Amino acid sequence: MPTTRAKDIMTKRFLRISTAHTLRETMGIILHGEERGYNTAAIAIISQEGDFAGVITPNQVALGLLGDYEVNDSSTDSGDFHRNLESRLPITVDAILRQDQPTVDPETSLATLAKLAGESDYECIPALSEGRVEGLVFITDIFKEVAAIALSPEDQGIELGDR
Amino acid sequence: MSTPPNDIQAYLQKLLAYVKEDARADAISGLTVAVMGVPQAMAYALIAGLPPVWGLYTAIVTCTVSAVLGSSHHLVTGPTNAICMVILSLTAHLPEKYGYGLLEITLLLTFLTGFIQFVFGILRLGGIIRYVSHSVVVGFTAGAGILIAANQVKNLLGLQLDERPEHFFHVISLTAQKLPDANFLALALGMITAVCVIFSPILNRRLPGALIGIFISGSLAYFLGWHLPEMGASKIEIVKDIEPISASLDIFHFPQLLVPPPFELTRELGVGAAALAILGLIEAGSIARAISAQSGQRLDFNREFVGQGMGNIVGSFFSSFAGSGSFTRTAVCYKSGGRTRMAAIFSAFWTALTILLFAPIANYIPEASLAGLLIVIAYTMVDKRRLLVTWRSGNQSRLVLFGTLVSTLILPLEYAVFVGVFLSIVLLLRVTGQTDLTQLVPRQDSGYDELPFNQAPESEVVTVNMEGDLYFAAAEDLDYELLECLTPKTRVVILRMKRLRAVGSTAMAILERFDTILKSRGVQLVVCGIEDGLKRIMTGSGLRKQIGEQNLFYADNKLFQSMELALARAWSIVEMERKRDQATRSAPEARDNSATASKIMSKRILRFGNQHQIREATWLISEMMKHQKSGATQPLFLQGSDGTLDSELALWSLLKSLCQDVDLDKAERMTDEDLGNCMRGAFPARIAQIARSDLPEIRPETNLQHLLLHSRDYALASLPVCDDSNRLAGMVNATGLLRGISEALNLDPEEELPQPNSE
Repeated sequence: MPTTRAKDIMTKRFLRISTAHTLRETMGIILHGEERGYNTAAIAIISQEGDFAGVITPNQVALGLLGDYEVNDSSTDSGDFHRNLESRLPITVDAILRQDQPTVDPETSLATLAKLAGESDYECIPALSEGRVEGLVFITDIFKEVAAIALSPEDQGIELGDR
Repeated sequence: MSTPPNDIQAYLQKLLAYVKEDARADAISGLTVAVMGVPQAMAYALIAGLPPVWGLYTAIVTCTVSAVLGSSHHLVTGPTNAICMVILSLTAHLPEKYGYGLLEITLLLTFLTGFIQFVFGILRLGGIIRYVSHSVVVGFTAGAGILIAANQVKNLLGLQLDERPEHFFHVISLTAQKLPDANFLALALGMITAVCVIFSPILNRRLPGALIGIFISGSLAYFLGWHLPEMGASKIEIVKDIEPISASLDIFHFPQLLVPPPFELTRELGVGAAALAILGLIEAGSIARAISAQSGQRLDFNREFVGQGMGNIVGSFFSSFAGSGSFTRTAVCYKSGGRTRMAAIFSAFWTALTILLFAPIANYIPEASLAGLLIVIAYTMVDKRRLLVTWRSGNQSRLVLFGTLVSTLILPLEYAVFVGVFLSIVLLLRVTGQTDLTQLVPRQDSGYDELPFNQAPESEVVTVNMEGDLYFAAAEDLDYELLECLTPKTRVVILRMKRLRAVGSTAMAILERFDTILKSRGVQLVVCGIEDGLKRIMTGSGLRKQIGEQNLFYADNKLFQSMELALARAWSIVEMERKRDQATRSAPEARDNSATASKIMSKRILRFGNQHQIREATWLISEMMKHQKSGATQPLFLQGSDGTLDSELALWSLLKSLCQDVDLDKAERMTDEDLGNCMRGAFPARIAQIARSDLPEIRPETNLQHLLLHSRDYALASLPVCDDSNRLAGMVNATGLLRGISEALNLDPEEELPQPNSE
C-alpha cells in the first residue's frame, strides 16, 4: 500500500503575511478573509528575507491582543480593557509567534504528520522546501486521511444503547 | 340599396330584388315623410327669410343628393329650423350691405357650406362630431327655438316691422312696439293651425297635423276672402304674396356670385359657412346616429359628411338653401317602415309631385298658418326634460348647455355654434384631463381593496392605481398629487399603470420628476402593469433606466400578476432596509464593552454522547469533514446522559490517542496500512477518557473580556457556551473573538487591511 505524503494533502494556496504586519492588520485579514470564504485557520508568516518565520492563527491573534491583561476585581470599568486592546494593536506578529511550531518537508509521511499533529494544538504543519513554504498541512486534512485509512467498512456507524 | 356591382346582370338582379322586397315600403315611408315635410319645408324657408318654395326645392334636391351619396338608410336631409335661423342671421343684412340679391347670397352661402362639409368628409374628419357634447346641441336647439318663436310672432300677428331686427332683444322690442297693429284674423289662422298640429297626434298618431291645420286655415282664409286686398289692414299675407309657387321643376340656376365669388362677401360669409357646415354636420350626424342606434345600422360618418356636402353643393345650383338632417322627418321615415336610402329619395319625389300637382293650392297658404306651425315646432325645440336633467347633472354640463343657449340669444348665431363647440371641447379636455388615482390595499385572504386616494392605512408600501388619460393636460399636477399619498412610514411607492391611456412625453417628464423626489426622500419607486405601448415610451424617455429594470413589472394576461411581483419586490426592499437599520443600530452597541458570547457565538457545534468509543468519534468527525473544506479544527463536545455538557474532545487529542502506538522515529517508514493497523488499536477506548473536562463556565451573557481571559487561561481556542441548566447553547471560536474585538474597538475589517506596499 502506498504511503501518503505531506505533498499529497498539503494546501498550496494559503494566506501569507510578513513578520512586520501588525496584529491590527492581521485581524483585518482574518475577518476580511472569512467573509470571503478564504481558509483563515492558519496564516503563514514570512520574514523580510522571504523565509518561513512561523504560522499564526486567529486564536493567537486574539490572545496576542489580550496579552497579559488581568481583570481588576475592584474595577467594573471596561475602559481598561479597551485601552489594553488598543495598545496592543500595533504589535507585530513576530512578537507572538509560537516557538514550538513543527515543520516538515513535502515528502514527510502521513504517520509522521499524524504523530506530530497529536503533540499539541496546532492548526497546521507547514511543509518547507529550502526554507520556503511549499504548503500547509492542516490538521483537519491529516485527520481525514488517517480516518479514511483506519476505518474499515465494519467500523462505520455508531452503536446505540447503553454501554 | 347597396353599391352597384360591376356586373350589370348582377346589378339588375339587385334592382329587381329591391323592387320586389323594399320599394313599396320605401315609397310609403317617403309619402308619409312628404305629407308632413311639405308644410315644414315651406315654413322653414320662411324662417330664413326666403320664399317658401325654396324650402320645397331644398327638400327635393338636397334630400336626393344627400341620400344617394350618404350612409344612413333613414336620414332625411332638407330644411331644418336651426339651420334656417342661422341663414337668416347670416344673410339678412347682406343685400343692403353689398347690393346683391338675398337669393344669390344664399346660394353662395349654400355652396360654401357644402364645400366645407365635403372637405371634412374627404379628410375623414367624421369622428369629430363624437367630441361635440349633446348638451351643445340641446342648448343650441333650445336657443334657436326661442329665436324662431320670437321671430314668428310678427308673422302670427300679421305685423310689419319698420326695420329689420338685429338680435333677439331687438326682435322682442320691435314686435312689442307694433302689437297695437296686430291682425286678429292672422292670429286666428295661426291659432287654428297650432291647435291642429298639437291635437291631431292626440286623436290619432298618424294624422298629419301640420297638413290638416294648414288646409283648414288656408281653406278658411280662401273661402272667406281674407287674402284679398279688399280686406285692407286685415288682409292676411299668403305664400303667393311672398313668391308664387309655379307648377314647374325648372329650378336649375347657376349661382351668379359663384364665378367669380366677390372677395369681401365671400370672406364675410366664410365664417358663417363654417358655422353652418359644423352645425349641419352635427345635426345630421347626431340624428343619423340616434336612428342607427335603433335600426342597428353601422354608419360611416365620413361618407355622411360627403353626402351632406354634395347635397348642399348641388343644391346651390337648384335654388336650394343649406340643409341638414331633419330629426322629425328622419324619425317618421324610420317609424313608417323606411328600409333604405330610397325612402328619402321617394320623399323628394312626392314633394316634387306636390309642386307639380298642388302648386296653385299651395300659393294660398296663409303666412300666419305657417307661423302658427313654426311656433309649435319652436316650442318642441326646447327639450324641457333634457334641460332639467342637464341642470341637475353638474356644473360642467350646465355651463355648456346654458352657455350655448344664452349665446344663441345674445350673439350672432354662427358664433353661438362656435361657442358651443368650444365649450364642448373644453369640457372634454377637463373630463379627460384627469387621471383617476385610487389606492390598492392587499386583503388577508388574497385580492385587493380599492380605496379612495390618500385614504388607505399607513404602510411602508403604498400602491397607487392610475386610470384614465395621462397626456399633457392630465399630467400637469400629477406629481404633486402623487406625493400626497406619502406618509413618514412610506418606504416604497408602487404605481400600477395598466389602465392608463394616451401617455405622452409630458407625463414621462413628470414621472421622472416624481421618481427623483422620491429618491431624495429615500423612497423607492416600483412600477407595474406596464403595457407594450407604455414600455416603448418609457424606454425612449429614459425612465426605464432611471427607475431600474428590477423595479419594473410588465403587464400580462393574468390580472394583478405584475402587481403581485411588484409587491414582493417592494417588501423585499423594505426588509433589506430594516436589516440595514438594525445592523446600524446594533453596531454601536457592540462597540462598547457589552459584546457578549451570545452575539458572537456560533450555534453550529458538534456534540456527542460521552459514552462512545474513539472509533465512533473518529467515524463521526470524518463524516462531518467530508462536507467541509480545509479549515479550522472544531472540537467535539461531549454530553452526559442528562444532556448537560460533560467535556470537550479536541481533534489533536483524538489524533494523539489514535497514534499513541506510532513511534515517531519509525513513522517515516510506516506505510498507510501500517498506520491504519496501528490506529485501530485505539478504537475501543472511550472518548470520555481522553476528553477534557475542565472547562470554563460560560453563559450567553459572558462578556468579551471574560471570554478572552477564559480562552487564554484555559488554553482553549473554542469555548463552549451553556445555558443555566448547563446545556450547550453554542460555541465561541477564535474568529468570533476577533469579531468581538473589532466591534468593541469600532474597527472596520476592510479598512484594517494592509496597504499595498506591505507584504
